[in-house]
Amino acid sequence: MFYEEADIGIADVRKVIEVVKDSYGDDFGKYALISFKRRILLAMKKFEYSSAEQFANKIASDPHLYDKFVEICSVETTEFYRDPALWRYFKDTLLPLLNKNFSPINVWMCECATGEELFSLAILLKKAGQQGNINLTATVWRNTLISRLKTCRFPISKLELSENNYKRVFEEDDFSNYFRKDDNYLYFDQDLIKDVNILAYDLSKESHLKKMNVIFCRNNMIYYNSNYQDAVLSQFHKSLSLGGFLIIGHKENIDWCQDAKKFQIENKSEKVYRKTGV
Amino acid sequence: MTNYKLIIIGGSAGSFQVVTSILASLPNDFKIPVVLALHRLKHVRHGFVEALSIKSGLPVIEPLDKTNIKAGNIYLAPANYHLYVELAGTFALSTEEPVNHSRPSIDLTFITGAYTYKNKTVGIILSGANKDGAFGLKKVKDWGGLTIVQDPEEAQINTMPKAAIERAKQVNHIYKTNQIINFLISLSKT
Repeated sequence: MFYEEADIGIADVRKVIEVVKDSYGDDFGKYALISFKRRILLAMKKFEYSSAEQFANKIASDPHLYDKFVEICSVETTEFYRDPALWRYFKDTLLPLLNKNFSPINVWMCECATGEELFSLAILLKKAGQQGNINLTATVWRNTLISRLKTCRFPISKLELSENNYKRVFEEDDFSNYFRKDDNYLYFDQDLIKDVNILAYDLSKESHLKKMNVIFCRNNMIYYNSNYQDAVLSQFHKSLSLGGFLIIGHKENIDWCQDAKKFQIENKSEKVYRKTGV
Repeated sequence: MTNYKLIIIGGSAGSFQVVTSILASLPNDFKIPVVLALHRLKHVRHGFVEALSIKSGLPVIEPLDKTNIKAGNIYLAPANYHLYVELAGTFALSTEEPVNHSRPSIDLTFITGAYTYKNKTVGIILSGANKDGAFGLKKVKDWGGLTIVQDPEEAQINTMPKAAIERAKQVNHIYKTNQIINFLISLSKT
């Protein structure tokens, strides 16, 4: 394993943060330090660097390498329909509620570079006959992450797990209707995301998305430091309509954030919040 | 007063009874936070923490992201996340790829815990059927922490203890369950 071969210090992590900021204007200081350190180690291993300083200097001078580094830092692995109970709740309870309360319905899938969350939702909406009814915006923080998402391609390794999740959500066995596969990849139907508005949107720089009725942001804030998470929650609050829903990861926590009081918990076990204050 | 600030226990198949025995024996005023990095089914979110709580005098908690690590608690790594220790003495969760086919990975909790707590870390590896935790225990050792492995003679499945002993080299103690318990109790008293 890569992490058995090398280690870097906090000074090295700070050096990478500094170099990226100076060369590209992106602030990686907003990430939680220990998991970001691990991403740097992963990237160094992949591109065969043993010195963090050399790696940092190369990133500064090589935008192409930086693009790849961004991908490694932004694309966390996940699975289709992670936490099936949440997706069941969305399908059976939240979706009917949205249809009752809002028209049009605006849904924002935030930081979905890895794609599984977006395609899980897209398939769910298609099955519910709501694909065209809902304005779905999907964002990643940097435009280089968009093309990967649009390939609609996923490694086959997580198929079994994802299929099992799918069965738990829909109690049906037709997941394979939505993709074709070869030995290495699943290729999802491009039609699933043809109506999705896919944007580059950096939460630390932009704030124009408004009137959202649902924001999905599951297991992203775990990679942010406290200050940034706090700022992001305030952004979400501004982007949501009154009565709109925020869905976060099963073990994420917003209770300590400045704007937490402007939300009420709608579903405690699935971590669904509702904006109740302005 | 003891010097140790964090106890991390790693285990897999065959470790459940050992863990419950330890938890049942720790005094209610135990002064060092205990982190349990145990392999578990990823899609079963409920039940495990309740099962561990039954005999524990101390609260057993699955920490939420960014929770402060506090004495008096037993923390259990939640299903389908890695559990990291951050430098500020908080937990951080991660959905990064499984390591040694495991999420939570015992190695990652040990590595990050030892990185933050250095020689104030106690690492304990129990029964298990793979080699997860071996490298983590080595890192505890490298940072000057204290290393303990369940006696492979006693462990229900000795793959994990044996791998840890081999990898960490000269672990401080190879103990049976009751010795682990006595040792932990003595830590809180001294």
